[in-house]
Amino acid sequence: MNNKIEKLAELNNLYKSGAITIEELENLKKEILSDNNTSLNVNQNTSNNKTGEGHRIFLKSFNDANGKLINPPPIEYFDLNNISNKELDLIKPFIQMKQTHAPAEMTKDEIDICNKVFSTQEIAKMNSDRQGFNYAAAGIINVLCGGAVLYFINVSPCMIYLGAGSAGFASVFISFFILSRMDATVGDKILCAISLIEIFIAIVLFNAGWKF
Amino acid sequence: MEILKQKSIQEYEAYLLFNSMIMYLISFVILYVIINRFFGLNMPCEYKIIYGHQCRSCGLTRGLYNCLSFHFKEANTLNNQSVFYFLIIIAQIAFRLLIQFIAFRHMSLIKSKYRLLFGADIAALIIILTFNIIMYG
Repeated sequence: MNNKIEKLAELNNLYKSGAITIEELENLKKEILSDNNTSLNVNQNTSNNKTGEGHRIFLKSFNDANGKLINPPPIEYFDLNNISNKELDLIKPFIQMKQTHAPAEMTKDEIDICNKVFSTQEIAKMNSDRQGFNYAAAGIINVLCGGAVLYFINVSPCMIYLGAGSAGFASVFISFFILSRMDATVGDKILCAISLIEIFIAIVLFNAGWKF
Repeated sequence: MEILKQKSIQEYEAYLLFNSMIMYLISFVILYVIINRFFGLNMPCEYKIIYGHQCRSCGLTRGLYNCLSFHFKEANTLNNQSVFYFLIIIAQIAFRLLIQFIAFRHMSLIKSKYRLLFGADIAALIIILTFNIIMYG
């Protein structure tokens, strides 16, 4: 491109100096432009050949959390061992959004690309950004354990040490397990917080000498 | 960490999971009462062992078993909360089963109303506990 501009500028100078006529100027311009078009076509073919490297990939559109349809970037061929910056710029945001909003719809190619181009921390961050829960079962068991501690201490003290103690230990253990996960969502953390608050209230009531 | 084909649990799905867990927990309580009776487990009251007197839930397991046998008067002599707990357990199982049935037939209804149902759950829990403390000390 720069070469083309330089040649046109040089032609313009020759015309201004009177070395060439206007007809010669126009003819030479056409030649330069046609040469450049040829070179542009060659570049395009080269580019197509480049994208033809690697294997054909299947990227699938998805709906984000707001129901908006997100279409994949126009990439048909992808070489995992030779990824250009341009390809990365195109594919990274798409994969990132899909892993956050529609992980169940990830194709095998998308999973392979994601594992290749993102680090462990980045994948965990994507997982933690999604709505809902990644540790739903553990979180609910955690809250129920916290509730059991409160129940055994305040309502039914028949199992005040065995029941409340084991439920409390389980609840604290699960809370720390979930909170230490990098991919825990906000929902998971809220369930842990509820559970720990339940344990805290139970301990306060127990130490305050709650009468049964 | 590698990406696998996974699916996060949405809030309404978490509520249904919570609902199922409560149902299994309550079913386990009934199972415990029956097993306790037939196998004579008779777990002693820790509170009584430590403090020397009965706690407010002593006799509840035997009382619940009597409720299952429809001997409500005898159940209340063992623990005056027996019938109250028995009714709560029956109501909870019925309510949880109803929610599971609605989820099976009309999932869209659960998707739109799960917050309301969860709010009702919490409100019911607070009312039951308050009533229990007021009535039975």
